[in-house]
Amino acid sequence: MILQYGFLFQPDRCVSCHSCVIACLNEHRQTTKQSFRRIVDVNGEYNLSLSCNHCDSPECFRVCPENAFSKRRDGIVDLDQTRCNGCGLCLTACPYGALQFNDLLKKVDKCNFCSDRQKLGELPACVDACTTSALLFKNDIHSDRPYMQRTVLTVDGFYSPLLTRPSIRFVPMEKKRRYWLKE
Amino acid sequence: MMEEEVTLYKNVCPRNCFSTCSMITHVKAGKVVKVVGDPSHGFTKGKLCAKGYGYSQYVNSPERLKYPLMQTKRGSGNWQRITWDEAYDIISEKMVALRNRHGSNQSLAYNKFSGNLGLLHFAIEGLFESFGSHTKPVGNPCLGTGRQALKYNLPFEYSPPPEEMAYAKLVVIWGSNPARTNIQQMKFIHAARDQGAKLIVIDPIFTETAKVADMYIQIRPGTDGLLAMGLTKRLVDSALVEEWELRKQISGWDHYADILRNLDMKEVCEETGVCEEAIAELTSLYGTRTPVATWIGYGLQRRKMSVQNVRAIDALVTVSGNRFIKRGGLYYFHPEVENMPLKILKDNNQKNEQNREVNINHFASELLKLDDPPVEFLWIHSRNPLSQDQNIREWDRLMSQLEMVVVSDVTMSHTAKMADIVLPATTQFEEMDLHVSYWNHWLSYNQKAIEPVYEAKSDLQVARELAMKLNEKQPGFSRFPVELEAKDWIEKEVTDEVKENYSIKSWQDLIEKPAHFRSQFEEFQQILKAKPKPFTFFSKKAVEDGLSPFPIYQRDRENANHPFLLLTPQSLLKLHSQFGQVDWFEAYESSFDIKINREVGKQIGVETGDVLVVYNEQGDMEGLVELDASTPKNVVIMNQAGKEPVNALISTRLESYPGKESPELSSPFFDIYVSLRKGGVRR
Ligand code: SF4
Ligand code: SF4
Ligand code: SF4
Ligand code: SF4
Repeated sequence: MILQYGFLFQPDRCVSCHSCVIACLNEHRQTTKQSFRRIVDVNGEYNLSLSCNHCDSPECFRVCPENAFSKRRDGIVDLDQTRCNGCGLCLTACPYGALQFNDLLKKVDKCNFCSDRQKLGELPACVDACTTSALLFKNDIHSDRPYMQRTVLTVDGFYSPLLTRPSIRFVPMEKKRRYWLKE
Repeated sequence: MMEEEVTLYKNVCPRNCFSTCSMITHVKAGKVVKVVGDPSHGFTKGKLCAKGYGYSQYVNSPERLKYPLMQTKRGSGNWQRITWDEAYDIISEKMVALRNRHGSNQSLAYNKFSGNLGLLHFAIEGLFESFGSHTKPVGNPCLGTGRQALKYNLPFEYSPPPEEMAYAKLVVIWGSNPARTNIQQMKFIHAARDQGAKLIVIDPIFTETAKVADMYIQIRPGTDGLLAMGLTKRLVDSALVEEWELRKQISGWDHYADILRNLDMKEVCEETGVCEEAIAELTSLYGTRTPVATWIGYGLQRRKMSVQNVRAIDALVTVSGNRFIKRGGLYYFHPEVENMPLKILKDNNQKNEQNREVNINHFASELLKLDDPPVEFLWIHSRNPLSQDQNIREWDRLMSQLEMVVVSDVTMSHTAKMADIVLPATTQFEEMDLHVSYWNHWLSYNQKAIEPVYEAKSDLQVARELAMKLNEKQPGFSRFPVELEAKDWIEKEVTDEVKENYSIKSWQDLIEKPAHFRSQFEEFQQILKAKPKPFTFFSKKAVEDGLSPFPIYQRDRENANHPFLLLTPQSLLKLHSQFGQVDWFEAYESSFDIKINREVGKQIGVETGDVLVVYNEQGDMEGLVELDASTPKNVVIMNQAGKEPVNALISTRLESYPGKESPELSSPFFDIYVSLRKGGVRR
């Protein structure tokens, strides 16, 4: 069966605690000094925790002169580092800035959706670490599921999904009441 | 990936943190390679905070102290590696000499607080007890004021199991930021919201917790008690509570009701900065939802008058009928560490001798005052007062006058830099221990996962070896039972009473999974029922302590010389001054040191990224400023434990209460006033 692994993200729950960011480093510490995940503060209003979105039409895949990227049957956008020549074209092509340059290897590096863990039936390290459940994992992100009705393809602060069709959905934010100091 | 065997061990994070997480440690070839959460712990449920996921770097950091070191001139940086035996020799020589010089051990003192909360870390205290009467710190700089406040209103202390917050219909957080300091709690709060509960955050700072709240109420620092009184008044006015019920339950109710009747709501709004609309909305939530969980944060009780604020919030919770209610209640502090036997400390004072006690809030200055005999030897462990205490200048003075200073730590802290002898301490991965939390109700066991890194030793090991050395030099100097190992102490600590409380047969049960304290709810409810008018809104004890008898707000004095209030919360990826050695975190810490309101920045003439000087009588500190729209205009925010400790701005002689100092009260860390000027130009 062809799947599309993806992230389901709830900005209303994310508190920028960075557990997901450091858990990713903890998992991939042997090969990298940078986390594949980062937290984006959107106008001081809410946070997004973002990594590679394992897009359906990945730009990195399209621009790479060495054909280093592949799209797996489970939807993971995989990078074959042995092919990478370090030219950096993909770094700027990815509208989400999801790729890193690995200084140790002089090659590009990226989130592989924790494929080793997935093989063992474990959740990605970042999802596993998120104690607020802001960051969730879905096997087949855009297929018809009960959560489809209440999720959307993008929120403010996230680059338009039209170009690459990223494998992430969001639970839209609720309106909050904020009473600022009367000074 | 299967090349080398990975062995798994169970550890417990011993940091001064609400969560006390259970952790699973992956060990390969004798090294910690990865640390993750332990799903068998019912509160932490297999998750850690970001710091926790960085523990492999913490334990393997090149900044770890490796060997005992001796510094020839204190503060000179002229360090020399010595052996443990040499260290024990030098230390015991001095201890014996001082005992002989003064005919007592009172010139020997130690200072410890929350660097490692493991129960076996009371070993050094136990060692000092074993000498006979000595000089020791007493008190709790962190949360004592709030505790005392709650005790005026209710005769016993109870903070419910925090997992139960998941069943509340309303969660109100006053002055706490779990997103940063108690991340494990957030899942229970979100679970409650999934069932329709609302989350309210009341805080002067628009924190990450405030961001996700259904309702955020920004409040002027130090005025929470007044807001609580306004809410209580509205509850009574709107007949959302029954006055005759309250009269039955609360001693002093009628008088308190009078005070509320005379409360001018316009003044409440003006002084707290909270508008009528917010008050109305929150009143209706408190009055119509049940159960309500209210959580009072420690940040709220770090000012001189905050004892009254905590009392007033507690009064609101009581009046709304939520003080003692299943699945709701008041959350503050779970006092379990005091209820544990603490054998390693208490068994060693066999002669029931009286020690010379020093208020930990003013430790350095009080120590300097002592004579007959003066303190000449100081042992500091599990603490970094030269970065974190309120009176750093006094510490400098103290350090320059002592004959010998011994510091044990994991890295070269600000305090260790001023020692004569530095001893490398083990982390939780290198020693056995037992842990309770001051928030959740779990008891957990910490395995030894690896051998000590380099020559690090646990406090217990040091206590045993030093006791032997001392007795060699002077037979009978210490009665510390050197033959007992960590396992023996754990076995002793898990007494029949502990076993009963935690429903375990032996301490070994804890290897498999942590154990939860039995429910105390019924027990406390019986006490409440048995007592006529169990809630006290007229406290004689408070009057004795120089306070109002009533849980009413009293204004903190402002500072005529300095217009800004300095608030110093925790950094995201540090715990107080700990975790600095984890290089993974560097990229994620803010590059700014100071935060102020944009308009204030404009007046001073600084923009984000400029250098700003923060100063008062204690000195000045500069740093890069960040301007924002939400910080109150009279507030300056600086995170704790930057490169230079912000505590240098905290004065030496602050009172925890009006006109009173007591070790049982918190250090008023948030009662600090400062002025600001643009950096680069010196006056
Ligand atoms: S950096 Fe490597 S992966 Fe990226 S486009 Fe160039 S060759 Fe391809
Ligand atoms: S899925 Fe794995 S590799 Fe990707 S961001 Fe999460 S932890 Fe990192
Ligand atoms: S772990 Fe969850 S809550 Fe924390 S930053 Fe990541 S996504 Fe946000
Ligand atoms: S610092 Fe607190 S939340 Fe983090 S791992 Fe330790 S106990 Fe858990």
